[in-house]
Amino acid sequence: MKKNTPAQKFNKFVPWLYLLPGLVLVALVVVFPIGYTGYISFTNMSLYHWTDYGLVGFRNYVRAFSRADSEFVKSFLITLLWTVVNMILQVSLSFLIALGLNAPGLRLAKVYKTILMIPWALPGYVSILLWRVGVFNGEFGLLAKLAMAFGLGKTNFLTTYWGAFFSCLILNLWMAMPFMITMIDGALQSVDRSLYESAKLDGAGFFRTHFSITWPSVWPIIAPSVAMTTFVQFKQFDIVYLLTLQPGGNTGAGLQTVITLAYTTAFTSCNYGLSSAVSTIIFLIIVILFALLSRRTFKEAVS
Amino acid sequence: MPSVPSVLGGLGDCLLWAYGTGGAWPHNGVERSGKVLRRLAFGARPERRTVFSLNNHGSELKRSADYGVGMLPVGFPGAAFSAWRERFTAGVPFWKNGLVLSQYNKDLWKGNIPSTTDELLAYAQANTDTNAGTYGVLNQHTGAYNVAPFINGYGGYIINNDAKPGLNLQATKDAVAYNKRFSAYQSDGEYNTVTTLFTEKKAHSIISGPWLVSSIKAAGINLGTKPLTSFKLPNGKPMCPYIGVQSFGVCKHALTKKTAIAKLFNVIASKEMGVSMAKDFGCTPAVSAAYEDSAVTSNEMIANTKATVATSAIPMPNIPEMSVMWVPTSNLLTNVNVKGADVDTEADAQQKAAEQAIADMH
Repeated sequence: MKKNTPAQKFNKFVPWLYLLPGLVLVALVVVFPIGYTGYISFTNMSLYHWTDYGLVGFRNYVRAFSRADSEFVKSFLITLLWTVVNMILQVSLSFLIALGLNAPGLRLAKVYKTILMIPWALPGYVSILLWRVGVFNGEFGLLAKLAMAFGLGKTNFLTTYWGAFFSCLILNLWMAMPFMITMIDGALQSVDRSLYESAKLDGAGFFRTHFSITWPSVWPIIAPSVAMTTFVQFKQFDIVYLLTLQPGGNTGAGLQTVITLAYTTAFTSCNYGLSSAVSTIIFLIIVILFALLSRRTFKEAVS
Repeated sequence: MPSVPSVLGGLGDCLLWAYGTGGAWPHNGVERSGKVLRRLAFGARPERRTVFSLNNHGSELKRSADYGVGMLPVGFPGAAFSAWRERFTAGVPFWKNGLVLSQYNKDLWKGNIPSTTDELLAYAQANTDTNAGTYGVLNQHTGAYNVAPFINGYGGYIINNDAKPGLNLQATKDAVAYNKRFSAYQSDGEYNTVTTLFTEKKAHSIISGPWLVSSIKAAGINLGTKPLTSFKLPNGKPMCPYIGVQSFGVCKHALTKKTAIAKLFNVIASKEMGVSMAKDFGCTPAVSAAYEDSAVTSNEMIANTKATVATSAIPMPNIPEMSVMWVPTSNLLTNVNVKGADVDTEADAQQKAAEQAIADMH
């Protein structure tokens, strides 16, 4: 067997040397916090044990699982529903809008695309508060004004469970769709135009053309984005919390996702061991779901 | 007054921490006090190198990271303070604050200002048209802090100094039920909604604190105030709001700077500082010498706040457990006022939630 020369051995490490700065950065900002959270979850670190904390084994996990009551199950199910409904609407509506933006002969397409980016460009916190006051507020909001104009009386959709769910859903679509539209729009540029000409000659209609040509062509490109977005939706916090649960602005809707429930029950306790255990459990749930979905998604995309 | 710039120059790495009692966080108060202190200390060009005002946004937490304080959980100041108080060697009260006033628009208010809450409720009923968006008496009826004057006045409590929640005490439940009667005439009770309604002259009065005065004056409202403690509840007792005292503390890290700290505290506790806080920011000074100044004594807002403090206002429990009481108390009020939940059932449920939250802290 031929031995590698020192130069060849060194060359094997060269790519790793190039990657080293990036790997160090990832280790510091991604791996370390996860590992440290995992470590804290096995300690009794809290307000009362800020510096003198010690290992307590699985005590925090036992406490976290003992809290998995009916409210947790309800929040888990609503989080799944939230994720599924959001993704179906987000992908399908974004696909249709992206198709519209790429319609042959459309004037000012770039202007429309730029305008569609505005919700994405705005800071999330600002958008949410703007909607909360400007659209949903029971006194000054657009919906309340419309309801009054139609003689329905003052309405605050954020005070009921499903009203809050759909209000959050609409706002989330408004905020998240620009990203998906951009991804699909980019993917559409790679579709071979000759395929559409062939389909036209074969007499394919709008739905047939896009179902059989466009979608299969763009799916391998957008699949990673869809997978990532799915888990962004799963760990939704800011919209639900700021619209319905914010201190001083609790609307009484009672809508809780897994993350908002964890925050309002565990994170406010200043018990960092327990909070870290809850975070680790949620992290593992997301990793498992992501692994399952990614495997399926990427397999479909490749095939 | 000592030569402040030289004093602060000698402080080196001294850390000053502005804090409030209980869960009451100074919010813009630390900004105000920080501004005054820096101006007195450094003149026209404030330098922020040595003086830290810990605020709720955490913007300056990073700067104090060398002292370990940067790891404090932002948003739980009362609890954070209690847990870290061993780090402090001394502190001086700076200004007093609280939900102490019924503020009313003199141009809209009809008749005399009532002396009982029942009369206040009757006024709200007679002068509220929810469809037209006009209101007689507004309050954040789902906010624990704003309903505390009812609860305390009825003899109940959110939490006592022994860290025992009191949400399902009969007195607390009576107060919650009484507050519900007001809520029908107080819109959604959200801070933004009620303050905007008042500043847009859609409401005759609002229960709030001195922090709202600048916005009210900017809106051109002819403002009148009356101490909340001067309103009698149906049980004959006065309303009893929480009062907070915003203070400065010094880390034990700074023990080697004793002389400088002593001089600095003299500045903070000086008459000039108190007068400046009152004149420039409408704050009620903690230093009694400031009340020798006519500009302070002639301020109606400050006089009312001082009167409230002197009568039935009570200090918010300065215990870590206070920080986890806001959510269950707010849930109790929201579920009763907005969702029409039964007071007894809801109080028991939220008492349980509060006890669980306190247990979770350990």
